[in-house]
Amino acid sequence: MPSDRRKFLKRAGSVAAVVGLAGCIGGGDGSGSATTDSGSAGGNTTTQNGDGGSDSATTDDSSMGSNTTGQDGDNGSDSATTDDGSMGGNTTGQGDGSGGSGTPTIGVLLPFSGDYAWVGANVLPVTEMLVEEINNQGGIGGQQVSVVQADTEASPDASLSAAQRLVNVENVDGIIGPTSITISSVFDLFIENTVPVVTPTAGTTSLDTRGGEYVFRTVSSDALGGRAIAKATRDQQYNTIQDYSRMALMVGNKEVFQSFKEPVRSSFEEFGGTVTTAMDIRTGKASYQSEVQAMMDSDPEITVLIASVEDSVKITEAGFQAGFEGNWFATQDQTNQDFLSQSENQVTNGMLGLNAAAYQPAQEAGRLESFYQRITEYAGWDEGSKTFATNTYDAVNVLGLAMKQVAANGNDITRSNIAAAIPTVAQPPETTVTSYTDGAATIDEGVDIDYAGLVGPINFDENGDIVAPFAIKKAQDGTWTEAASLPPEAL
Amino acid sequence: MAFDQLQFLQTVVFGLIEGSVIAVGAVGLTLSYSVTRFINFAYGEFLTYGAYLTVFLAGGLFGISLPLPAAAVAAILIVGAFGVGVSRVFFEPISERGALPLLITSIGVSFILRNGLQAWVGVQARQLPVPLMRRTEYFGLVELTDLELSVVVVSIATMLAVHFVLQRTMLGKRMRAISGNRSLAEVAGIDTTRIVRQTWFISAAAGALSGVLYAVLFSPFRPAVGFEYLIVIFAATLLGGIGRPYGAMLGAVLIGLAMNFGSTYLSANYTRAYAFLILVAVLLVRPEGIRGGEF
Repeated sequence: MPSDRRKFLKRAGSVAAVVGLAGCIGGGDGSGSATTDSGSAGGNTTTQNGDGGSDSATTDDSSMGSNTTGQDGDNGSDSATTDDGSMGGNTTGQGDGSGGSGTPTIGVLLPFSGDYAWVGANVLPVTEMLVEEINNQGGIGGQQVSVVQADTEASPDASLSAAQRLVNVENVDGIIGPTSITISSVFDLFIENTVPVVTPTAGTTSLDTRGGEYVFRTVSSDALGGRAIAKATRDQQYNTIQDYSRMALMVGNKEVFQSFKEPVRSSFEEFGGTVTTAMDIRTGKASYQSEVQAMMDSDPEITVLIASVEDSVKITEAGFQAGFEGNWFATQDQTNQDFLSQSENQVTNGMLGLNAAAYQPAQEAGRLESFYQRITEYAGWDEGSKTFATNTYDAVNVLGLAMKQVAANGNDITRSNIAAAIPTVAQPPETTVTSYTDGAATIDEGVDIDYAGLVGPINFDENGDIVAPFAIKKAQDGTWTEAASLPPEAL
Repeated sequence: MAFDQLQFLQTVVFGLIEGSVIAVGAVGLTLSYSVTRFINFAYGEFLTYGAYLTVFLAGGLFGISLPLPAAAVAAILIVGAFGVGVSRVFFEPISERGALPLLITSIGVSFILRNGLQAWVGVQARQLPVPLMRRTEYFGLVELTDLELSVVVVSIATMLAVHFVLQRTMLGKRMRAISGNRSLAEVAGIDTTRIVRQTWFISAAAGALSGVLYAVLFSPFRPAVGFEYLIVIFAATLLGGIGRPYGAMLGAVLIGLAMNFGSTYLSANYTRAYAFLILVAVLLVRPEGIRGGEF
């Protein structure tokens, strides 16, 4: 018996060692390890996740990322860029040739696991619903369109390998996504491979001055969002509470949050307010007591909090415990039910937040309501107005119509042809269409179209950006209600 | 800027509060080291399991919804027993092979436990159902919430209990005997296996308690919480001289103070780095810790 036991233990030991090694690769700090670990879990559930040929690259890459650079977005994208370079030679060749062969494919490149899994969960069903609509209308050039998803894990490294898989292995014809967190690590890959990308989620200011050729977005830039925050805090008309004149800024130290910082600060000062402190905070800490104390010492009337849901819960509670009497202003990241359900109402009551507003013409024509109804039925959601849902509707429609236009023109359905068609299907003064079915029928008649969406008129500028109205939300007793709407003209 | 005495005192208080959490964890870790002679890297998981079990017992996941203190006590006892089980399955069979295989095994065990928990409950952040309260002022000098005060009280009570067990009970005497010289203790007729198991119980239970205290102060938390906090506990344990419970208590308070003073006066972005800094300094300058001698 003792020898049996020894054998068992040997095996147990080696299993432990293997698990240990696997864990080491995933171990970063804070949510990093959570994200990476759950990434493998996500891989099982989300169809073909990360099992492609580029996977070995992924593993090396992420171990580098999490051990040496932690969660720092910048460093992450550096190591990503290196990899990108080494693979660039292989990938460019395949870039344009992908079109003719195989069925048209749309890749969804978003976080499906970890802290930001909600983004993928909000976007994917809308994409699938619309691709079903495209296929019901006869597909693209007589071929059925398929959807492939790829998990970015909200990490630049994982995002790059996921994007490489979409571009080189799946040969997608267009991509929906990614988020601001990972756009910088994959942007060059998109350009090198001429991949048309319409992102419903990346508001980062780093896209303000680039994009427009291959990369487009159906979400407002954070530069505009930051300006909206400044306007809404400064002007009682938009926040229904008061004209705030002293503002503190607490900004998470990742690109997705930092992107807001400068626009908020400079706009608030431009509107005549004083920024008492603009503080960078490390995301994923256990406690933010000291940061909150430093914020309170600067004596602001309102604190703009640009951070993840989890950190925001800790920070607002620390403020409550320490007796902070000013108000809080949050961004889209927290203006959701998730944040309020993790917080106590006594902390969040009266808190303000920025969100995308309904586009008036879409609302008045009942298109918004019918979209909400359609998606709740399709995806089994309890509400249709989830963050990024309408942005996704517009992104997929634009991409689908561009593909349709290429096919209708008799051109090959290649990535660069589709990218070139994207601005043409959403530009006035052509015939306005508001859905894929509508647009496809118009294209079939040989008429040029101008797509107008749910978030705005969707007219891409030279950098592929749009403008859309904002809503100012106010938390009361555990729900966000709309306090005011802020049209882009007011900025 | 004038030196702010109130801020200084408040920082001391925050340091003591966090030190209380670390102290409970450090004592548990150092007790198991003193008897088993290896550093248990799976110790952090006891913190995690303690916190999660409390959430589940209090939140009615198992069909019962206990009041928070009862849930915490139940969780601590369960994790204590769980610790004994872990040691019997993974560590006892290889206890004769020396410290290194044990240490490496404990790293593996920690991954199994953490990922097992994650597979079971997911990665979402959890919170203990503790009431949120404002800080009240004491003596016009410092402010703390009732919860923070009770964390400190529980921690002090635990330290006293550990002191009592070590000095006044047969178990404590035997533990000290084994710690001093295991073979000799065995020759003297002490049932070392039994004492080691009892030590594992105390150690794991202390870890769970530390996890609960952590969760009371720092919510929400995720399955990696204990593993991440382990390094802070290591710092306290080493600072106090590993294997020395009283040193661990002192070390914990110092680490708690260092983390909070660093956050307040240097930069809040590096809270845990201050603990590591001390850890490195101790290893370089005084590897035996600030408190020499046995127990």
